[in-house]
Amino acid sequence: MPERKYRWLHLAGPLLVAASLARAAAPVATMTEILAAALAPHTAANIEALARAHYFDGLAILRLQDN
Amino acid sequence: MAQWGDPDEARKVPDYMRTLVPEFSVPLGKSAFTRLPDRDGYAPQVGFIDSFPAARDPAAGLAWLTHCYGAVGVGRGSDPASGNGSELYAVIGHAPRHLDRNVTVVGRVRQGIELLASLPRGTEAMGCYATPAERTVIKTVRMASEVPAAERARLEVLRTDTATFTALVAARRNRHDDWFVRSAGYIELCNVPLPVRPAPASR
Repeated sequence: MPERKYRWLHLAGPLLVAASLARAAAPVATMTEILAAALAPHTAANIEALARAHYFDGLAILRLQDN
Repeated sequence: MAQWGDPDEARKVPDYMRTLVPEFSVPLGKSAFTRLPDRDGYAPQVGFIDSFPAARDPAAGLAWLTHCYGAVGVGRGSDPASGNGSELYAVIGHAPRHLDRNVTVVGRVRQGIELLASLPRGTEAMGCYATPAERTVIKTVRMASEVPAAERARLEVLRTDTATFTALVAARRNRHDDWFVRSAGYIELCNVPLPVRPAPASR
């Protein structure tokens, strides 16, 4: 496969989500996740609408296990 | 996995988005697919679409995102259509590929998965936390376009349709570093690294 001029894909645009976690006695941390518009378009649109309405603000991580 | 949502189930989701057509898989379409030549136990073909780990069944004409580390999926009840995106989870351990095509995988944590993976495990059934005080609060979730430009993450992911990526996969498939005494000659989909880096300032 010939090498391409651009080897890196810029992650930008409206489908990038930034989340901030608040831990007691710890600094706020951020994560970035990408919504897959091509593979789950309706779901991505729902989550985008919820994020724009700030639906997730103040919610919490409810469960955590080793899969 | 780490699952987040409304602990009190009190927050209203607008009626029109209460239920959602499941997108457990989607028509193959025209999405470019970087196929991994290695065999897979869960799907006829595996590889990458838009640098997401993905699988395909050409005979059925379907493609889907796979449950690799960092995958973000839509929590749901017994009704396959009951997931609406208001409760999500991220894979924080060994890839639970048996969940593929049973839930909608909607994205991938590209940066910061360690912030979830390092949290204390819940002690109750299904990993639920015993007390509200154990829960990590989600302060905010914003679309990147709503984040001030100066604070916005500027990231790049290595394209999978490049010779660099092919060479990276080959090197991981057959490790020849001094430490190794034996090469596997094989790589599993979720073991393929998908490097992410801050975008150079010039871009």
